[in-house]
Formats: sequence, structure tokens, C-alpha cells
Amino acid sequence: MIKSILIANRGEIAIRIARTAHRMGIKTYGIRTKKEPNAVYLQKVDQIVDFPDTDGTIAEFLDIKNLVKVAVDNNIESVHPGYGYLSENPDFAQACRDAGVIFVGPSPEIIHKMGDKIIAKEIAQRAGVPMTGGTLGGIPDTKAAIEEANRIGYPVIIKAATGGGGRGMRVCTKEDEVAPNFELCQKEALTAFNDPTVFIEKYIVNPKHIEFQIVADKYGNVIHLGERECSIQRKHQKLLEEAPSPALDHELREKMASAAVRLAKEAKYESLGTVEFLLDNDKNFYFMEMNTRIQVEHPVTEMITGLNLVELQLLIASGEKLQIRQEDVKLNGWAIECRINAEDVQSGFTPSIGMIKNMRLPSNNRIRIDSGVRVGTEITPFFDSMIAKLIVHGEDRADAIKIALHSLEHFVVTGVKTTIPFDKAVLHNEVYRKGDFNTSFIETCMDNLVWREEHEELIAALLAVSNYNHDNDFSGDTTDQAEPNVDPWVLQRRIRHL
Amino acid sequence: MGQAFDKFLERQKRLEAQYDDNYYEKQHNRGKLTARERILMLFDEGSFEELDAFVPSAGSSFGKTKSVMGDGVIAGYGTVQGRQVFAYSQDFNMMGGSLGAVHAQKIVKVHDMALKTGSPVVGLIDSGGARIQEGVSSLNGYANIFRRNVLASGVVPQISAIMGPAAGGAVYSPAMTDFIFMTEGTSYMFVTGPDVVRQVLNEDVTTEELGGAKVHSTKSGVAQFVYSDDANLILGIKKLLTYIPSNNIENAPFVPNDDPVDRIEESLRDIVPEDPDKPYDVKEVIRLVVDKGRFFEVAENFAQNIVVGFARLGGFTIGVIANQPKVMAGSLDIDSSVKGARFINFCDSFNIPIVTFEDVPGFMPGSDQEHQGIIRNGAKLLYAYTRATVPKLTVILRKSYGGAYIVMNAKGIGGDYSFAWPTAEIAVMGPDGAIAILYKKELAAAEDPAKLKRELVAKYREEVTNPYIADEKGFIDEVIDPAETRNKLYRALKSLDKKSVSLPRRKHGNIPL
Amino acid sequence: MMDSNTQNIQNRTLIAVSNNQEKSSYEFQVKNQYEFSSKGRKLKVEMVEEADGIMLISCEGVRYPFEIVSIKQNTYEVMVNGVSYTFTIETPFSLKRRQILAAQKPADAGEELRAPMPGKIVSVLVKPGQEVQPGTALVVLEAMKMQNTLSATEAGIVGTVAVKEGQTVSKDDLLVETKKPKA
Repeated sequence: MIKSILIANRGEIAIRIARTAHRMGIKTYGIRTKKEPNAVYLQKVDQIVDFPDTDGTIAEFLDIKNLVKVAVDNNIESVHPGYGYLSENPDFAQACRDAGVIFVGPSPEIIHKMGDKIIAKEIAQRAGVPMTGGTLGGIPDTKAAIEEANRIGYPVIIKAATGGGGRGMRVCTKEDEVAPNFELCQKEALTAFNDPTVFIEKYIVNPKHIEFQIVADKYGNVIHLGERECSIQRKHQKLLEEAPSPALDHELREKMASAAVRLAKEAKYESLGTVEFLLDNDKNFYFMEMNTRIQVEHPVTEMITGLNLVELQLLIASGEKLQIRQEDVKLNGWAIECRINAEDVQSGFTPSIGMIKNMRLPSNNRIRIDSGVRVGTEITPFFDSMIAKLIVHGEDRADAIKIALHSLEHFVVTGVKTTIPFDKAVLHNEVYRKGDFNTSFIETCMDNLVWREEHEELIAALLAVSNYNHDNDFSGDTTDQAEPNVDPWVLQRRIRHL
Repeated sequence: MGQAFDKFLERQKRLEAQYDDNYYEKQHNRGKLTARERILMLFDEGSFEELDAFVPSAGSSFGKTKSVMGDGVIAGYGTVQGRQVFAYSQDFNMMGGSLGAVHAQKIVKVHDMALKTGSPVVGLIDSGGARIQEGVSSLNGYANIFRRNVLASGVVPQISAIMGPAAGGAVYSPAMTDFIFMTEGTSYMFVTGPDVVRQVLNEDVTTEELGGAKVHSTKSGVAQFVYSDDANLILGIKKLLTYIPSNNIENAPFVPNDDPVDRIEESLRDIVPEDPDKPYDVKEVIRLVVDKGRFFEVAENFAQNIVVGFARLGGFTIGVIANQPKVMAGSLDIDSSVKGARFINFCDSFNIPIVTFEDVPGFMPGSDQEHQGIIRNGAKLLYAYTRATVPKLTVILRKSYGGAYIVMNAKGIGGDYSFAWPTAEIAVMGPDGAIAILYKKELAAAEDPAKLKRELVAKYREEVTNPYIADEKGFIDEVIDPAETRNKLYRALKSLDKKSVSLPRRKHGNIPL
Repeated sequence: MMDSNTQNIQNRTLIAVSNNQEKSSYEFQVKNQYEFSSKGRKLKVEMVEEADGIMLISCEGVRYPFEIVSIKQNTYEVMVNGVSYTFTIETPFSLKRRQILAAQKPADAGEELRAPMPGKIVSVLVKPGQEVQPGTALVVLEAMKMQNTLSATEAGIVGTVAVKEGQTVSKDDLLVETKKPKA
């Protein structure tokens, strides 16, 4: 078993990892940075190490050289990258391996393969996983791009081979859009990911986004832990997730799950991984990509399976064999995760910067809150805007929605604006409640992005009027009795000095 | 008695007839209140006593002559929140509120009475300017008013509200008073109007762009307060009056409230970011310290790198001056120095203690500022702080470097108490500059200069810039727990209740202008 | 005659005009700080601070958490249940005045955000076409080694974004232009 671990991340995921590692008897190390020396996650680790002094050109959690150095200098046996930052960077995994540090995640080779969408597609094809029609390799030039697009049929999407997170993607609905978009996409890919390779595939209009959680050990055992429904997104940023998905029946779930497992086996995958699929209106599913890290939304899977994903990840990294077989995995009830971000939904989800003045969390034995902030934490534009994740577990979907709404009503944050009213609006939405929604949900099904209670605007108006009255009522501020008395000693000197 | 009284009543009736429905309607249709409504709104109900209501206009030899009772200005006295105030309100409905000889005399009378009785003067200005028909008599009227403004300066508070036009020489009366209020959209002030500007300079500019409330409250710094309409503006004047004394002998009104002076405010411990390069809003600090979070800011839209305004501490009025790290890192430039200096002068004239919250990286560098005279303008702030004899308290929140340390009320220039938060950094200059000078050779010779510099900067921060050195030398009276700031300031203020300082006798000092 | 009298805080009419697109407005007769009536209905408001510092407003039998976000003269931004509302408080006369002035004035050109000092653009937080409210952060400018967040002062729609992340700007350089939303 691993004895010590460096958590190369911050915020709620650092706390999440520390909690499990600590319980497993692994000594946890957290990294203190100059940007947030008093961060909450530092209170949850066994030992704090200071990040080495640098000129600051590379952000701390992206600084491969120094992160590895911290692990080596402190004799830390392993590194957990969390999500984001270096979690899917093969160079980091390689640097850890070279330094003799265990990287909690797949091997650098696998991260590289799955990170390159063209290679990943080749693997998927070998595994017989359905894909949207398109090229297997990169497209050399504009002429080839137009030919390929015409062959596939519109709409098509041009994607950067090494892109992610919604960047480096462009949709073309007709032929004349291909050339300009192809060139733009190449440029974007080069500046953003340092690799101009792009490819073209069929664009699925308004699909559902469904992903399967895979667990694989180093001995070829692969199981899946069911799916997560992630279609509630805005500009490819997930905002609210659930497990299982209301869009799948038993048969479809089995079909998609077995495709995901086949893909992982074909890739000789190890550690935790997520296979993302698009599901169209006719229940056809297509492989999109595989994520080789722990996902933000992993708790919904934990809620319905009763398994601890970070624990599994650490056991696999330690070289342990998987103790659970597929038939041991039972999906129980329904889980929903609401992301609570410091964003101003009413101004187009812009970051809401400021200090968290106050925070009141709901408490209930059916919910879990993962958070990396406290009262006094400053929300800056330099880190992601997530304040907390609220995860609820219900007997069924309706029950989970009910608990989520009830919990959100008791979740109060002051000082910054949050997505709580947005989460409520989703959960109250009739289309959402029916369970038949796709990635266009926010644009097409939400008339109101925030939920307002009855009389809320009237009460807000009253609040403003009442405060205005209060602020302008200084009738009690001066009276004849309050007329100032100057001390005689002072008075005498005051007059003399004139 | 019968006939005599009838005559008296008849005269009253004629005056009332002057204020008919048409009188109100005309002004309301311009989006403005009438002079009469404004002045009645200012005073406590039923307390207004009008002076010279019946005086006719002076005759003139040129053009149309029309006489109105009162000559286009309503003047008198009354009480505001129970305290006596003198005021005049120019009447745009009567000959465009233009200033004739009689009109001017009424304003002069109000000033003279205010000076005799030690009462504030409020001028509500809505005037087309000098009355052309009356020629030089009207100009002489302005001269007399200006002289009264100067005589009253620093003796009784003078407040001007621009509620319509104020053009040409007329702008100089408000300019010499303590505070200028303006209404959005219906008031403007300029020395030369858009028509002349167009003729002379060929520059096309609207009234609003040239001298509207927005321009004067943000760019020129002429107006300290802007309100959305007449009624709110008058409420603003009333509010300001509650914070200030009636004259230079008295103290500001004491207004007890239920906010405990020993209130511990734990959130103050988190408010200053650890990272010295990160901004925060100093107004939050002020609101958390003062009574009931009420801070009445002066000139909030101008030179926002310094924040000034009135508040109360344990019921006593204080003048607050604070660097604003949120804007230009809180550094001092020309505008902020002048804004701060003018506010200090007001507080000092009227016995209002000054509380300074300091977080200043220094004066703004650059040829732009140097060429425009940051030296003589920065000197105004230094002069004002040093000359002020009212109680002067300072809390150093974070940065206090170099000349700015001295200017912002250092003990050496007469500050009574200096407190520092544990986050304070006090030194001749910031770490980067200091290391570059002290270790120039070493850095040039070093294998990895950037790394050496970082180490030295860290060492400098650790050993030099902390508040404990200044504390041990007595330049700081105490390093305090931020949560206790309110109580510490209150006690210091109480201990200075009877503060008295003698300055050398002189006609007046020569403040750099 | 003097319908505009606001001499008394008590017993007057105040109108809260929202800055939302519908410009919804609520008219209240003010009895005192806690008692109002609207369209003949009596409304009693109570505000309490709970032990943990959260403020609650209760009215009409419901209790909602609230926060006063900002006060700019007679414009109040408040949050109720985490939803932001901005109201300008008017009297019947000041409302009429607003209409008179609006009729006189040509449509406002909007707002130009210029660099208050030389520095480097650290991040651009808005895109052309995006709707902004007063206080919406537009860009972060690093100057004098400090990160300054520059925000919109008026509601509008972002027109031009004249700078990119990493770009150095001089004082008074145009950063972001916003246009007034069409009424």
C-alpha cells in the first residue's frame, strides 16, 4: 500500500482526496501557495509543504518540475493530481515515473493515447464502439476538409485533436463555412494546445451527454459503475449532473456499458476513467472521448453505488487487485449534484468576485456537500469559481429532486452571487422533471435562468424602499438636547487660538 | 386697525398670487421643483421665516423692466432637524432667477445674519446669471456675495446646491463654499457656455458634457454630491447637516445610537488579503468600524483612490480618510491629494476629528504626474494633515511606504495615535525597489538573479517591513487585533476630548496652491 | 399643489422601479419603516439577523434570506434568496421628472471603459453582445503589481472589446465599450 501522498491540487478536490487517503492511513501532504496561504484545504492535510519560490510564470499546480521536486524532496511516495490542472498531462505522469513517484492515475502512455482524439478514435473503432461518421486521421488542408465534410454530410464539427473543455471546436452547417472554420480551428488548436492537428466528424444536433464510470486494475479487470447524466451544460461547462440517467432503460444501459468496458479493455486501461457518449434522439449513441482522471461529478456515482472512487483509485495505484466484480455493483436510488459556483447568472454567468461574507449550509442525512471555501474566502478570477457541490441521494428521481430543492432553499451564501437560484430553476423546470432533456436545455427550455419564489420581487422592492426610508430618516439624529456642549477648558482655548 | 390690517392682508394676498398654479407647473414641466418647494422642504415643517419677501426689483434704464416681489430669490431662516440654518433659494420662474442688485442684497443679508449667529448657510442655486439690464450693479452684487463667502469660510459651514444653471461669474460663489451638490440632468456649471466655446474654439460640446453633474462629480471634482432629483438632493443636504457643527466654535451634534463601541468585528481579520498585491474594498473596513455601518461619503465618484467622508463613532462625528486599494492600488496622485487635503481642511475648521485608514504603496510615478505638479499638489495633503489641530488617528492596514507614510498622518507630523494591523508593512520603500538598490552588485553578479531577488525580498519582508519595528521605536502606538479596531479608535478619541494645540500666531499660513 | 412634498418620511408615496427589462415598478404608501400599503393591501415587513449573521426578511407569511449588495444614492441592489434585484426609489414627482428628461435627451451613447492607469490586461471577463449590469466585472487590469477589477457602471450590452489578455495598455486606452440596451 502507498504510505504517503502529495495532493497536487487545491479546493474541494484536495479536501476530498485528503479525507479518503487519511482514512486509509496514508499520510497526506498539501501544497501551500502564495496565492492562497490560508486556504481551507490546507487544514485538512496531515502536513503542509510550501511551494518553492518561483518567478511565477507557471502557475503552481501546472509546474511539473517543481511539483515533482516537492514530492522527491519530502520523500513522498505518490502524487494525486485531482482534476483539471495536470491530471491528464502525460508529461507529468512521465516525470513522476522518472522520479520514482507513483502517479495516481493511468500510465503516461494511456493518458497520451486517450488524450489524442485521433488515436482514441482508432482504439474505439477496434473495440467496435459506435462513433459519429468522420475522419480517423488529421485533415491535411482546406481542400481535404471540404471533401471530407461533403462526404460525411452536414452539419459537421471540426475539432482539435488534442483539445478539450469545449475549446477548439467549430460547427459547420454548409459547405462555405468549412474553409474559414477549418483555418480558424487550426489556429486556435495551435495557440491553445500547441498542436494544429484537427479532424472532422458528424455533428449531432442537440444530443444528450452521458458518461460511464470505468474502474480498471493493472491486471486486466475492468468494471463499470453505471452512467452519469451530464446534459445540463452551458458552453460545455456542466452545471448539474445526476445518476442514473432518465434517458436510459436497462437494455440501452447494458449496451453502452459494455461498449465502454470494451473500449477500456482495448486500451489496456488502468485506474479510474470516464467514457463520454453522445446520445441522439433516436437512442443511437456515439463515443466522444475518454477522460483519464477523477471527474468533478464523481460523487453522484458514489452515492448510488456506495463505493468510494478515490479509495479505488488509490488501491489500484498501489497495485492492488480489484475486489469487486461487475455483479457486485448495485445501483441504488437516484443522486443529483448541483454545482454552486460564484457566478452572476443574471449577467450571463460572469464570475462574481468578492469575499464570502457568510455561508449557511443545509444539513440532512441524505445530502453531501463538498466544498473548499469558508467564510472569509476571497473569490478571485484566478481560480475556478466553484464554491461547493451539493450532492443528494433519493429513493427515486422525484425524491432526489425534492431533497435537492429543499436543501438549496437552506443554502445561503452572502458576499458573492451564486448559481443556487439557477440550480433551483432547473429543478423546478417541467422539462427537466420529465427527464427528457438534452444539451440544448438551457437555451431552449429555460425561460427564466433563476428561480423566484412567490412575491419575491415585491419583497425585494419593499426591502429597498424600507432601507431607503431608513437611510433617509435621520429625524432622530439631531434634537435640541443633542446640541453640542463644548467643554469650557476646550472652549476657552478654541477661542483664544482664533 | 381695520383698514391698516386690510392693507396688510391685501399685500399678503398679492404675494400669494405670485405663486399661482402656473408658477408650479412651469417648473415641474422642466422636471424641477420650484424655489419655494425646495426651501420649504429643506426646513423643518412650519419653521421657515422668509425675509424681504416684498422687496421690488431695482429699476433699470435699459430694456424690459418687470418687477416681481422678492426679486427672484427666496431668503430666510428656519430649523433643520431642530438646528438653525440660513438659506436662500433662487427662483428660476422669476426673471430666470437672474441676479439683480436687490436679489444680491438679500443673499448678502442671509450671509451676514448667519455669521452673526454662527449658523450654516445653504444656497439653492437656479439662476440665469447676472441681470443684464441692471449692468454693473448686478456685477457688484456678485462681488458682495463672493466677499461674504470668503468671510464666512471656516467660520460657518456653507453648502451650495446647483439645481439649474450656474454660468459665468456665478459659479464662483458655490466654488468658494464647502460643499457643492448637483442634480443629475437638470443642473450645470461652467465659466463659459457651449455657444462661446463653439465660436471661439470650434469645439462642439453639449451643456451636459461641458458642465453637467456627471462631469463635475467624476472629472473636475467641482461637485461633491450628485443626486437624481431635487427632493433627494435636499434630503442629502439635511443628512450632511446632521454630521457637522453649526460653526467653528461648537462641536458636531452628538447622536447616540445602540451600536456598542466595544463591538468585536471578527470579519476585519480576514479583510486584508495576505497577498500584498491583492486589492480589497477599504469602504468595507470603514463600514465595519463606524456606528451602524453608516458612512456618508464625500466626492465618491472623483479620485476614487482616496475615500473621504463622514461617519460617527460612539455618537461623535468623525471625518474618515482612507486609501482605496481597489482603485489604482490606492496610490496617491494629484487629484486624490487635493481631494484629501480639502476634506481635512474642512474637518479641521469645524472641530471634526480625523480618522485615517492607510494602505498606500506611494505616490503615483510617471512624467504625466510629475509634470502636472504632483510635488506641489502632494504638498497640499501634507500641509493640510500637518496644520490640522483636531484629534488625528491613524490605522495602518497594510502598506505604508516612503513619503506616503509621512503624508498619511505619521506621528512625526502631528498624528495623535497610530495603530497598525498585523498585516502592516512600514518601510522606506517596497521590497522590490529596496532590494534592487541595496543589493545591486550582488544581483548583477548572481548566477540566478531572479532567485536571489526573491529570497532577498522574502527576507526584507520578514525583517524590515513588519509593524513591530515601528512599534518598538514608538512610531506606532500599538499593533492591534483588527477585530478590536472600533473600540481602540473610540478610546483614543475619548482620550483626545480635550486636545488643544497652539500654533504660532500669524495672519495665515501659505499653503502651496 | 405641493404634490412633490417629501418633507415627511412618513405618510408618503414611494415607487420602486426595477432596472430589469420590464422596468417593473411597485408603488407603496409608507406608514413608517416597517408598515406599508400597496394597492390597498397592508404590508408589514420585519427584518432579523440570525445568530450566524444571515439576515432574513419576513413579509406576507414568508421568510427569505437577503443581503443589501450596494447602495448608490437612491439605487439599491438587494439579493433575496440569492436572486439580485436593483431598484431605484422614486417619488411620484421624481418619476415624472425622469420621463421629462428622457423625452428631452437623445438616446445615450452608452459607456466607454478606459484604462485608469497604465498596466497589463490579466483577463477579459466579457464578450461582445453580452448583457452587463452595473457592477459586472469587465476586465482585470494589473497595474502597480495589483490586480484591479474594472466594472461596468451602467447596464448595457457589450459592444467592442478592444483588448486581449496579456496586452499592455496606456492610461485612457479604450478597453470595453458598452451600448445601452434598446428600450
